[in-house]
Amino acid sequence: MYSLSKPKDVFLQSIDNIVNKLDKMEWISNYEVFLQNIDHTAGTKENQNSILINKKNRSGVAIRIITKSRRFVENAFGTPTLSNIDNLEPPKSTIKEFSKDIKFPNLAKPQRISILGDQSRSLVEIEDLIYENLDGLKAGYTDSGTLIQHKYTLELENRAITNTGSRILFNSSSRIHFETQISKKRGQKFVTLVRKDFGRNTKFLPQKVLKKAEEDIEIRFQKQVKFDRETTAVILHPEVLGRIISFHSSNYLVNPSNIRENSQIWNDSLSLFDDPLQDNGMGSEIIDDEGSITRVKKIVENGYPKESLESLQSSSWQDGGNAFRAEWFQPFLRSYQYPIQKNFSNLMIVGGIGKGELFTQRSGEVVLVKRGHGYVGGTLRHPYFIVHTSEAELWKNGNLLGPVNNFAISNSIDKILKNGDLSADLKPVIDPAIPGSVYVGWLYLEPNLLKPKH
Amino acid sequence: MPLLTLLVGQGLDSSSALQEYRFSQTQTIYHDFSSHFFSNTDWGTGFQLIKGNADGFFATNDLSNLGDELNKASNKVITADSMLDQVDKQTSRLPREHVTRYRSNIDIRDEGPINDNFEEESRLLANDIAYLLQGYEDIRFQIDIQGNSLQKFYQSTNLNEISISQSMMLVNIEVFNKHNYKTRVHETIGGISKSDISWKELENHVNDLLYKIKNLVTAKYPNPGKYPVVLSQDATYSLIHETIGHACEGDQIITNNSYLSGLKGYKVASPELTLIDDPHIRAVGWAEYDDEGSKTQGTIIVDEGILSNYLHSKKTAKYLQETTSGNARASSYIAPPESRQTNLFLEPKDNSSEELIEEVRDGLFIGPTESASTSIYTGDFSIESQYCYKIQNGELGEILGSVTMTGTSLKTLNNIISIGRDTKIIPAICLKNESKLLVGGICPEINLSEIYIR
Repeated sequence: MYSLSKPKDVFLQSIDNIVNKLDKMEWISNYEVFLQNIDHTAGTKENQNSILINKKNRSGVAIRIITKSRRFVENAFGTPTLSNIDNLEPPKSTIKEFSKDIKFPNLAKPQRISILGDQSRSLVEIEDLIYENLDGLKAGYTDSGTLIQHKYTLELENRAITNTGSRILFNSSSRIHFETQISKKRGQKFVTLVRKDFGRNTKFLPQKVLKKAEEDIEIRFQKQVKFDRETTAVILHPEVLGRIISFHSSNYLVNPSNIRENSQIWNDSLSLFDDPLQDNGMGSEIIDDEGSITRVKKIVENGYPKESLESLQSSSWQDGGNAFRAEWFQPFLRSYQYPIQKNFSNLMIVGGIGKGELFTQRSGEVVLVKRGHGYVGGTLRHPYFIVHTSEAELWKNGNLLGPVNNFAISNSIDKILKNGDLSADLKPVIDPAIPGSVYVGWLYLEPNLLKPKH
Repeated sequence: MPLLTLLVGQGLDSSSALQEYRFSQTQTIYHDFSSHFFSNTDWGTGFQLIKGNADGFFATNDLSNLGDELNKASNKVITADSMLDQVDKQTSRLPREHVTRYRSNIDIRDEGPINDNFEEESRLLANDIAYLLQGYEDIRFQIDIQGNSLQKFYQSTNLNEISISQSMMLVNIEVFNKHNYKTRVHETIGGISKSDISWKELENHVNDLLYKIKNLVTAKYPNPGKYPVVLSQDATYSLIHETIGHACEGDQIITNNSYLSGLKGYKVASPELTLIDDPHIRAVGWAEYDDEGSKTQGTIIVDEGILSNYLHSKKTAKYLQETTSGNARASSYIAPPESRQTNLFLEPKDNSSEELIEEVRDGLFIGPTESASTSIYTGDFSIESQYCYKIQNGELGEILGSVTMTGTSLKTLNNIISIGRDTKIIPAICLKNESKLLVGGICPEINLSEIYIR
């Protein structure tokens, strides 16, 4: 395990103490205890020689209790307030929550015991590795007035979960996120772009990210070109498509029965998986925050909605594996402070053909939308997206003609995934509003499928 | 200053500590009268460490090893430079701000919602609301009542000591169709004490929600296209908060992320629009002091269409050689304060709702917001409403389904042609980066000459 603020035995001692207290409370029928410690260190490199740091450590416990009167209550305590557990009292209301006795299921030991990330090093050692990686990396204002900033975030987490009659499951993991932002002046305004790398270990490549950012911002400074909205095909880069898929999945697809049973929504070659066991996936976990063993789930199979994602509570204690304690609308931000919610881990959309970059070599003009900002909404039967582009460029027969002015595109999500060409090469995409990684290819859309709106 | 004594001799210019004790409880009741009660107690401290223009942050809820951790963090800070050091070498060390030495103690908890009986009181209130909603076929609902009690203690080496005890209460009522959960309407009301929420107001909202949900089941949707519109108070707040509020936050300005960077003094909106950030209004963004110990103030952001001020923390103000506006807000002890909005007050004019609708003649009345999204960098936004109404021959017509307004900020803000007189206090949850805060709005209805509706 990681050498965090507390050694493992001290960490597990706390859960033993809590369990001992709960066992003595006669009004409790059964309980679940979730103990967590998160060390979070972030840094901003604003100039060549130094890093501004932002470090956080927090630990605490979330306890779910089913009372003998069949009521269900949940309490979270930060470590300094753990003594408040002694004062827990039965709920005052006499209304029963459950019509029958409910018990948390016995926790099984996961088959896979390896834990994601590089666990051979302590927090301090990993931080030192990051500093080494960033050493000498160009940052700050350049002679031409361009501002380069780098940010990294390292998060190490220890979790222990148990419930009445179960053993304690322990798990630790790490996540690293790195991004480079470049702002270059054009007239009185700045052109800004961000490029990222991330993973479960320290093998992020800041030099490569910086190089990519510098190359891409040069494209933004080439002469802008115009295109015919009626006749130009559009390619959605994975960074754009991944976000559309993730928000659509969070809102609709986690409960396929919400869509419509036995009706095809996408192209019959496409399937969507929730895969918590991806080695480098930012949402990967071998157990969820209820202690259920995670597994790969098929959300969409050959174009048809299939399996739903469940927590114990959402499945009436029948299934689980997708329960995480996360901030509302910021699922990437996980903490004992939040109640359980149902999230996907890593999404993976498969069934595409070919390599995405080759789409730009198709005959005729095509607009590649590389970055954008948007919204996923609509109704259950007609989900749609709106993307306001911030980086898009025009290609013709494999040649880059130049950047294009920002524009907006909008269409039905189901329609573009029914009729578009998806590539087979998957690129992981992350975002603070996405619980884990979304692995998705490029999507080529004929002109009649997506007319850009200015 | 017991905590700050740990930083004596570390070579810092100044430091501050924000200690926070937070107690929050949420009572949720569902259509079948089952319920969930969640309480969260935590206590921790965030330290801001400053040397020259460089700053660092360390936060923890575990006081063991605090001295060592602060020592390590301080060592990083005293060897760091910030991008401010590069802006102009001659003036990089800006004059130290005037040290105001004060001690303040504010306690408004007496009016607050949290007490020993909150669980019972909130359950009774939720039940009373549920009784109003029960018995309607095809309707499902969820009622959330959240109460927060917060004690903050701020100390700085500038000898400032501020103690604030405050509270907040939110009631959210969500009603949806059991066959299609996307056909839904919801309303949130809230304030800084129980007395800000009246039963009469709740009853009116419930009746209104019931009327809407029944009619929305068969509602049509307007065709996509450009429409003149009247925005409800809630929709007005969403537009203003997303397009101006966030874009004026100092950290977005100094990193060139905002489309409003460099536009201070320029016309950015219709002359009808005057917008003030006012933390002294009795709404959920209330604050007498910000989380850097600065006295809060009203800040005119837009004065008759002219962009007049940005919202600053000490750091962002220093960068632009301005003074802080007292807008440094931290979501909790675990996050460093950053420039955030408090309560946005949009100055009302003389038009009644009927006059605004009459002025539009044929168009749409946009209802409360479902969710919203903005690109600060480009100013593009999308705001999905829960429902809208047709406006025909200057009168409110049939209710229509959810629509998404989409556009670019500068164009849309200049399309404001009239502002109403009847304001509404709006509580809202604001997400920025990874931190969530409560913000308030006091907004009238407005008329837009044109906006694109999806």
